[in-house]
Amino acid sequence: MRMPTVNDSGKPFGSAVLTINGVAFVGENISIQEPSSTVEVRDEDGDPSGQITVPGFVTGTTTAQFASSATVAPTIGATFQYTANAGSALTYYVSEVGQPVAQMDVKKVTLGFRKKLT
Amino acid sequence: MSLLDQIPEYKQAAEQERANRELAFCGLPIPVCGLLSNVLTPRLYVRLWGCENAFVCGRDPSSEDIAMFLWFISLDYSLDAGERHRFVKHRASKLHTAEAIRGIYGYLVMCFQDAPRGESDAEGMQKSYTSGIAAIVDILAGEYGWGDKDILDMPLPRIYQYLRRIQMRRRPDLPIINGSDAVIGKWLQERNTAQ
Repeated sequence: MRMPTVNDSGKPFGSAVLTINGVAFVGENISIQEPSSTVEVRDEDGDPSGQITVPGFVTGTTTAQFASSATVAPTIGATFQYTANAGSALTYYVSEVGQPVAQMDVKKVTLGFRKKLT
Repeated sequence: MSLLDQIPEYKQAAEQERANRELAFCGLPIPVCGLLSNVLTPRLYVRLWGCENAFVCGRDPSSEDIAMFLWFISLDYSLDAGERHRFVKHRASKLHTAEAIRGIYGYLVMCFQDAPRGESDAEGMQKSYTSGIAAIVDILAGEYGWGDKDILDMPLPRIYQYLRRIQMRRRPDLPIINGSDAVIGKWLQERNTAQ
């Protein structure tokens, strides 16, 4: 999770309500990586002469809190939509499910996800 | 819209938690039932447990439990029986019972706010091989090199925050649960029911 420079009023940073199969949960500490690959081209002297950068696979992680300890954690492949950086909503699918932790009636699990391509 | 805007009760609970965490480091006594008191430490906890005080043993508290609890955490605490008698007679016994119980439970909630909750086995009991205090000392001494005397006299709210930091560093994949998360859970239940 990226640390905010200023966090006025102690607002939770990077949290959002997400919905999987009609069940809402809160995703805390949502972190999305948008990597890229760059092909570097050099001339005969080895000096940079060109480059091509192409976007990579978009992945992310979040800590999901469910409505109660009885709520079943989402399975790999389950999809949800999330809007990052005030852009348009994108569809992601769950690619990793961590070890659930439950205390009292609160249940959380770390999820890894990837942006759906098609 | 942030969660704080959507769930006002969560905002209140989260702010209270945050204030408790900061206050744990101010090093000043706190008022409990109007009496200036020490924040609970592992050593104080063990003393109360050793005396089978109801507030740490899970029984319904009696007037004696209230008086002894407040005496053990009092800034005036000593082994002097006369001092204890004066404290009970002139201060603790003058408290309204229900208000005193509420005040002590509020104090305990503050002290144990960030405490890890253990998982019990199917029988509801966890096998014990050492004191829980030994586990705390072991982790903090091993991690920071502090001596056991310092750890035994450290306020529990500080100890539990250090334990959380250690867990966050060692097991960043393991979620941490706050008491205020229960408010979010309740809100999610209502939202899911309404959908």
